[in-house]
Amino acid sequence: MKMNYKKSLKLITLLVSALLIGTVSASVYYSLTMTSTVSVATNDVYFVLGADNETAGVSLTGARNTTATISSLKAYANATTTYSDPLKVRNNATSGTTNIRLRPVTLSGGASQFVFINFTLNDGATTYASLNYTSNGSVWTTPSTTSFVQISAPTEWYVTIETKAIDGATSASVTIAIAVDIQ
Amino acid sequence: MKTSSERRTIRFAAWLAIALLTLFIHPPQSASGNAYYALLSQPYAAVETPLVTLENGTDGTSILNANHTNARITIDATQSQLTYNYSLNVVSNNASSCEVRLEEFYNTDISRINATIILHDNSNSSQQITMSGGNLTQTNTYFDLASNGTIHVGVMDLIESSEGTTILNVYIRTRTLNTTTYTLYILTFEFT
Repeated sequence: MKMNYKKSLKLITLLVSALLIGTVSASVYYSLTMTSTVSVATNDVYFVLGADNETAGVSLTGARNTTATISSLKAYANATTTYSDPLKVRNNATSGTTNIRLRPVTLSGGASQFVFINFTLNDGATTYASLNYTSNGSVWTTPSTTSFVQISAPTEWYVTIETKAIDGATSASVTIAIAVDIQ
Repeated sequence: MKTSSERRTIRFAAWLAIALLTLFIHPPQSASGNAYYALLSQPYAAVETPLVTLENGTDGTSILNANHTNARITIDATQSQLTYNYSLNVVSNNASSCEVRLEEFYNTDISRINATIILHDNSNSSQQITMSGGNLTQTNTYFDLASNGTIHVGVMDLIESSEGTTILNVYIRTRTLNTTTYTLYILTFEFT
């Protein structure tokens, strides 16, 4: 059986033409040429230690405080413990605003002994973002990523953490990683 | 009957039609996005035995929760002034001292009760909440709780103007010295 190469060639030509037409149809484009030079810059937004950093066991790492490890948070049975100022987020820019948000990353640890662990971003008067991890006694409910909020420059906001364990709680632990996205 | 070549051509034309239709429905798009970076925080939280617990006093009747972090005290009020110096004990199980204060957050029918609630350690005292003529005032003053020490909740000059039940819910706020880290315990007074 012989292929009809002529017909195939016509069809391929038609397909390529159609693709070209589809790509450029309906819009008139123009382009600007950009030449970029990328250099290593310091981040304007970073963590700083809060007044209660020792109580909460906060340590900062990263080239410019981009990672905070908080290792001594306690949760007590049927009592709410608040760490008002373990850690701050600082916008060190000289002017303007920057968008930031809180985003859940990972969680490891059982939920059976906890009621909630709540992270808020606030300036002491207004809460701008909150990630509240709640437990129903068996599983954690991970909160949704918050909306972006504007932090002025230069400003520091508190990362406040609240914990609560269930009545009769004995022993348990959980590790929660959260990200502060900067746009 | 169509020949094999014709069938192939028809199949090819069909695929071509699908491709064109796809291009028509989903024209080439431009993509855009915002560059951002992220800071990472990794908190670790552990359930632990409370560093401060509530224990029964010698006055009134107290009901404590399993971990002794909440209490409900039933106290008898009469139309004669009574003082209960040891309604509840606040006990430190900690090597470090801390500060304690009472904060009202809910009440019912306080107009029938006059009383002053204090914290004391038998030597010093701190007035915390006063109920008088239906008004409630609180000082928000911290009182020291020494390491492994005990302080007491006292109800002074308690008098009722009529029969009934008055509920007063307060937080016992314990604060780590020189920090803004604190824990709230719930204490309910039931004046009958």
